[in-house]
Amino acid sequence: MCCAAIERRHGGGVTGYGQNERPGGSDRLADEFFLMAHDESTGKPRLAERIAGLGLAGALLGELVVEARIELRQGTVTVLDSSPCDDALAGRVLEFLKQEEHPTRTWLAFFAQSAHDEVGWRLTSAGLLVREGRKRPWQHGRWVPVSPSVAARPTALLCTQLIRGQDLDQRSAVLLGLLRATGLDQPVLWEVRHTAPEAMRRVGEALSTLEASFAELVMQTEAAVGSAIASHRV
Amino acid sequence: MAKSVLSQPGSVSAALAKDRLGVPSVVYFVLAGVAPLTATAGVITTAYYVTGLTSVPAAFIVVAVVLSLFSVGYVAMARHISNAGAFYAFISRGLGREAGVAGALIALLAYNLLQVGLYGMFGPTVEAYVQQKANVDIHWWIYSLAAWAVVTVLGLIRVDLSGRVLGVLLTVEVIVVVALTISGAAHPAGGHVTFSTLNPSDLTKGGVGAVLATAVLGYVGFEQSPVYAEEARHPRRTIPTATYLSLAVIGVVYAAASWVMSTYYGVGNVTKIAQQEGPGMLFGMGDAFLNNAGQILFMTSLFAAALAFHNACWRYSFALGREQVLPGSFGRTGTNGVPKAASAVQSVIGLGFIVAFAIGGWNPMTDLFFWFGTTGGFGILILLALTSMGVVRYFAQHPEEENLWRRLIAPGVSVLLLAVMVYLVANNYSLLLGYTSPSTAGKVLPALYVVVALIGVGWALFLRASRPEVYAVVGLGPDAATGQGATVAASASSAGKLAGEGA
Repeated sequence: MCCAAIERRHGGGVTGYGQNERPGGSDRLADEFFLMAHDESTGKPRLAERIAGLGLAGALLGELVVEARIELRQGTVTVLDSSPCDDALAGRVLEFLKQEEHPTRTWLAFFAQSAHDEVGWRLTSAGLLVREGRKRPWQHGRWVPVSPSVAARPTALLCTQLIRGQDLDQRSAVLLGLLRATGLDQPVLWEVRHTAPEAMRRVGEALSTLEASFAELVMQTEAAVGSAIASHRV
Repeated sequence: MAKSVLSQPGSVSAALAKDRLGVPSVVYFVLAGVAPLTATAGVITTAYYVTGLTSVPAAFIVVAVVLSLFSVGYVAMARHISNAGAFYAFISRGLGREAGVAGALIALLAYNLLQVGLYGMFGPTVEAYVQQKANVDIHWWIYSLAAWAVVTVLGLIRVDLSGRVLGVLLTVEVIVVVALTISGAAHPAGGHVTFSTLNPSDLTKGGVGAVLATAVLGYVGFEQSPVYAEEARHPRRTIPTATYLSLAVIGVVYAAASWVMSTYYGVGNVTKIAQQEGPGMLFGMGDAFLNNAGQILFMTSLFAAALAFHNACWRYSFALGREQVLPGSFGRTGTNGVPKAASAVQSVIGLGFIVAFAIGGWNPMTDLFFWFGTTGGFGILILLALTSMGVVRYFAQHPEEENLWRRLIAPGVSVLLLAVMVYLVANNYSLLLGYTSPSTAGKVLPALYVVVALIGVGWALFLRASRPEVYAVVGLGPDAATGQGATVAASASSAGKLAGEGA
């Protein structure tokens, strides 16, 4: 069971997501979102904390969709395959989803509370970030990239894909969807907007190709972000 | 090395509840929007002098009762439908999407008028204060522009003033109002206390519409409570409790303060003194310290109210932008979570009116603050009536969801009472604006709502014909993305079920 799952993840089951070819030390959706959501050299957040949390929660669920572990439909999450995960964090998320039943919106709110720290620690273990304590009492601690060029790579890759007109796989498309849902597309796709504005059209095209679960994930994240903004809790 | 933050399974609801708003927080948010000192000093005194009637305290009590009755159905509906733009979401669901878009535009107009009107009170108040303390004479509109600039900047960069700063200011404001009221009550005019102004039977006299409209204006802001439904710890209990508690607090404060004013200055003099002193009438009831504290807090409270209504304005435009009923750019936010376009448009409207009044040389207190304010208040009154109708109709289609009192009796009675109030106000509009005979402004201002309502209905019909996908999500606000309303009740019940299983 376990081996089959691993085989499927690295083998035929999820081809087309291009997981294996990603350079830069991290190939996980939430990791990429995290790196994009912070300045590559200082680690300064680019998003309001609550919105970043919702985006990361969406990305964590997205990782499980990529691995065909869960399915999102009509506001609910269904676990398809609960065999152990390679990644400890993904495994813990899956464990929660398995044990309790909630609307997707509730799950997003729940994972959003801890997603920032969880993904930060995962990237720290992978050697990509260093946790820096607060410098002054009123400040927050920061996750600082070990190498700015590695931290900037997900953004650079996505922009290049868009500008050069390369094919966007489902994984890139869902990442674009999450960027758009949180407003992070504005800083991340800055280069595209300024050097090849016509390529921005491809974002919309990519979003229209999203498979059902991914499309649902993006919509739910967008609604959760909108609702947080409207009820003043950002 | 990696530290786990997610704890053991089984704690989802508990973890979420910890982060959510309890009754005190919601009451604070709501009261900060109501700005009780602005209403006590600004609205009560203008109510006395514009209408020339002494039954102001009775009007505040009557309106509190009507609004409580309205709230029964309102909070019941909030259990089933959550949307940041509560009024138009409820109207859409109850009376149809055409009425919903009309309601949204009425709300946008009303909140903008209320917001802009506050600049008309802020400028002259600061002008008078600075003149009195420092003997420096600066035009009112310079202060208004300064307040406008700060609101604009805070709106765009979203420094979170709301939480603690507003909470502290609000607490001090309420303490000062209560202290002034007690101080006034201790020194009645001529040494004897009269209760005649509390008698609601005086409200049957002519001009009652004007007094009621002004009283409603004092309560504007209480309707924001369902906005927090999705963030409330126990949506089914928190929002209703917070709504009734807010109404009770401000109702008692207003009725007491306005009654004490009539005793302190004497029933025969109260309207004359209101005309001479304006907001100073409230502060004059205290000693030098209270008087000064009251004046300073009045200015901060006007500013806080301007910020609160600015937020209410962009929240409506944002929700409508997310639905694509207004241009989608209103629904887009920057990385800091600020809907920049929605916020900026409101700021431009504010700037336009301050500049127009400065150039035109019109009276900022009576024309900008009171005309715009009361017209905004009248818009809210119309929305309350429409929302009540929406509640009755929605529950007529879903009778299984609430008991008879909540779904029919209370909202039904409130439809009747609010409709009568709308009629009385519309009928007395010139008097309300301070005219003794029918005037052009008295016809034009209330008619604005008819115009925007017709535009709203027209726009909804256009959407139905040409953009059905947009028409389908009218009233869903941020949830338009998913095409289905957020299920407050559903998530609450599933949380309850889980808690039950866990026990």
